[in-house]
This record gives sequence, C-alpha cells and structure tokens, in this order.
Amino acid sequence: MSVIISLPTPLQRYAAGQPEVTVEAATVGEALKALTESTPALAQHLFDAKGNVRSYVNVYLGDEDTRYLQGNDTQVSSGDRLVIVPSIAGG
Amino acid sequence: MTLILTIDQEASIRQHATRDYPGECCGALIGETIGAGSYVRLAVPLSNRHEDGPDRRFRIADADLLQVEKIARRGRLNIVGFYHSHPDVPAVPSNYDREHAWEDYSYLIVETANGEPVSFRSWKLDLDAGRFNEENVQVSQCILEKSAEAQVQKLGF
Ligand SMILES: [Zn+2]
Repeated sequence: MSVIISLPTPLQRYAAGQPEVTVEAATVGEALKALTESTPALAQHLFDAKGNVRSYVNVYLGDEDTRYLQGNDTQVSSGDRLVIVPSIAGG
Repeated sequence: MTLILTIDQEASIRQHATRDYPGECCGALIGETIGAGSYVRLAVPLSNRHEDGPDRRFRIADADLLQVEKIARRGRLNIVGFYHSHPDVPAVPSNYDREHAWEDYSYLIVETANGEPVSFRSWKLDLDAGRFNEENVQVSQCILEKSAEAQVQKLGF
C-alpha cells in the first residue's frame, strides 16, 4: 500500500530536501522503517537508541496521534498520509 | 540567511505580542525559501499551550501545527519558522529556546517592553555547534514582487 509521509522542514534536509516521501507499508511501523531505509540519515532524528519514536517527534495519521491509536501497529491504507509533527516549544 | 516579512505581517506579529503581554505569544510562519531568503507568505497567530502557563514559556499544540501544516501544503509552501515574544527580556534565544529548537526553522523573537514591541530579531539553530546564529530580518513593502525577482534570478535570467 502506498503511503505518503510528510516531513517537517527540519527533517527535509535528510531526505534530499523533499517535503514528502512515498513508501509501501501496511502499518505505521513499516512505513517509518521504509522511510529510514530510503533515507538512513533520518533514523537518528526519528528514533531513540531503543528504536522507539523520539518523544519530541509525533506521527499523525489524519488528525490522530498514532501513539494513541496502536502506535507502530496502526494499520494504514493506500493513499493515507502520515504527518511527522515536531514538538515546538521555547521560552 | 534573511527572513523577509511584509509590513502587514510584521504589524500583526507586533499586535499579537502586545495583546498577549505580559504573557508570551507564539505563531507560525508559512512561506518558502528561495536561495538565502525565507519569504513569509502568512504569519499565523497561535495559542500558547505551554503546560507551565504563558509567563515564561510557549508551546504550540500538535493540533494547531497540523492545521498550519495543512494550509502550507495546500499552498505548496513550507513552515519556514515560528515567532514568539520575550516580555521584558531581550530578543535573544534562551537556553530553553535552544534546547527545544530545530534546524532550518527561523526563530523570530520579539522583545516587548511594557507591552510595546521594541526589537525584532531572528535566529537559526546550528545543531552541530549547539548554538543559534542570528539572521537578517527584512521588512518588505511588497513581498510578491521581491519573490518574483528572486525566482527570476534563480532561473538565471
Ligand atoms: Zn524565547
């Protein structure tokens, strides 16, 4: 299934400047794996040492945070868009 | 790098900073980067959702950022940065700013003194060096003209 992954501006530099990447996947986890296989430099920015999505990176399917769905096991359908949303804060 | 805003966008950010004083305001900058210039097309005021309150911190809710991202995508644009205010503090990034910053975004900071915007400065994170570098802020009368000019230059005419 073709899934589109939207990358936030700071991660686009690791994907040859592309704002989105299309991958073949059936779950969120597969989609992220496919993404980092095609753009390995992204891996350290998306995942911690244990392979979990970093706490200041959020993966949305539509308007839903996939952490509150089934995380990496969340099913995706052809044409779905995953949006990687960075945590934005300051002081 | 130069962050280029229209006078209207600058005015709306100033008003937002004054309105939210003594709290910190925040917002997103939608635009495009052409060469060394980031051209803001839309400055979107957002709510400060920081869990500690708006006195010294700001946070943008994911839901708000998702909406901004959608608007940007529809216009084939990008989020080029964010703005926030420093009430009665210079427009220089704090340690907290640095700890939470991302590469490639412009962080525009407005210093408000007694609620009046007095300084506008923009910063970009150098991730490897672990510090911010200041960039120029240019306020333009007509952004479309400027952008067209830059695009023409980019094409080599
Ligand atoms: Zn700040």
